[in-house]
Amino acid sequence: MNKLLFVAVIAVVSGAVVSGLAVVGGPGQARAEKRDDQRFADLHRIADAIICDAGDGRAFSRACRSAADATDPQTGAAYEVTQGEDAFQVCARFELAQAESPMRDALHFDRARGCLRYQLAQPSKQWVIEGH
Amino acid sequence: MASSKDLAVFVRDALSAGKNRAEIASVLTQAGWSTHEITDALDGWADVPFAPPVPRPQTVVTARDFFIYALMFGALLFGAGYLVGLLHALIDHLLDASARTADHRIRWAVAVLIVTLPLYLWLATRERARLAADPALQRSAIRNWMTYVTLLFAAAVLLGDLVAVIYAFLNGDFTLQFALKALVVAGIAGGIFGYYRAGDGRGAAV
Repeated sequence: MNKLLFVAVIAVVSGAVVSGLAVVGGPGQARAEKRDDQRFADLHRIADAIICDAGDGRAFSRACRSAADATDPQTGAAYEVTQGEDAFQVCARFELAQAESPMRDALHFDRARGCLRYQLAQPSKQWVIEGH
Repeated sequence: MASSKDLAVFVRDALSAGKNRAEIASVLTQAGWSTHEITDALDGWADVPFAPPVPRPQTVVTARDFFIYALMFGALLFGAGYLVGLLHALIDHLLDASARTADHRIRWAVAVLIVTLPLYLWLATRERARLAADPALQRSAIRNWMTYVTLLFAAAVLLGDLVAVIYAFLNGDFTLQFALKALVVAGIAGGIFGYYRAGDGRGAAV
């Protein structure tokens, strides 16, 4: 294998590997992503439980599942729930910038604090998620 | 029924006894050996006036060669495949930065490349040094086969890439993103094809 080709192959592959890592970040970033995904799933679970309780289970074809065990994966703190008569929100503190996460379009962000907001749609008496 | 080993012994004895090649071929044909088998058996001995008959070197198949070349082939296949995948994911990221779903693909490709690239380069340089030290090793049948199997794969990928480009063009999907991806595939498959082809031509494929 001649020297020039050898160096060129190493350069191309290392370049690709380094830029790949620069794009996705290291293990710390990956762990933070996983915790954020967990938070997002927890918010949905809590919201489901609240809707289930509020409607006496009518809105659900399956049994209500408690979300009492849902706590922040890093700090272990309970999520913040604000409940009113015909609206509620559940919030978590997320670790990563939210710009590049299409799956979290549903969240309302105030810096790191992201909230899932629901309101009671009047004529149909159904809980609907509040978009942007 | 006699085995081809018996045939080889017979040919050696016949040549030692001073029979000429046409005579030997003729009696073997009468005995029911195929022309191909007879030619192979006669070619095992050099056609020089010397007694006893001088053996010719034969292509060799060794388990060691199989291990080394299959490993190199696997490393090359996986390495090249995931390098393509990684570059495609990077192109997606550059031109359309909305998708976070590619993160797992990128991490996996990086892990594969960190293992396969050093492995391939190490084996290739090691085999090259071994071949340079002993040119007789170039008769390895497995080495030749692996070279041609690699060429076949690279050629198939190149042709497939060409088909994909033409299809995308006809289908109206020929975007910058697609063009760059097709270029990456062509570059890598073409590089491997050219490298193995040149190596084979020189009789020093690694």
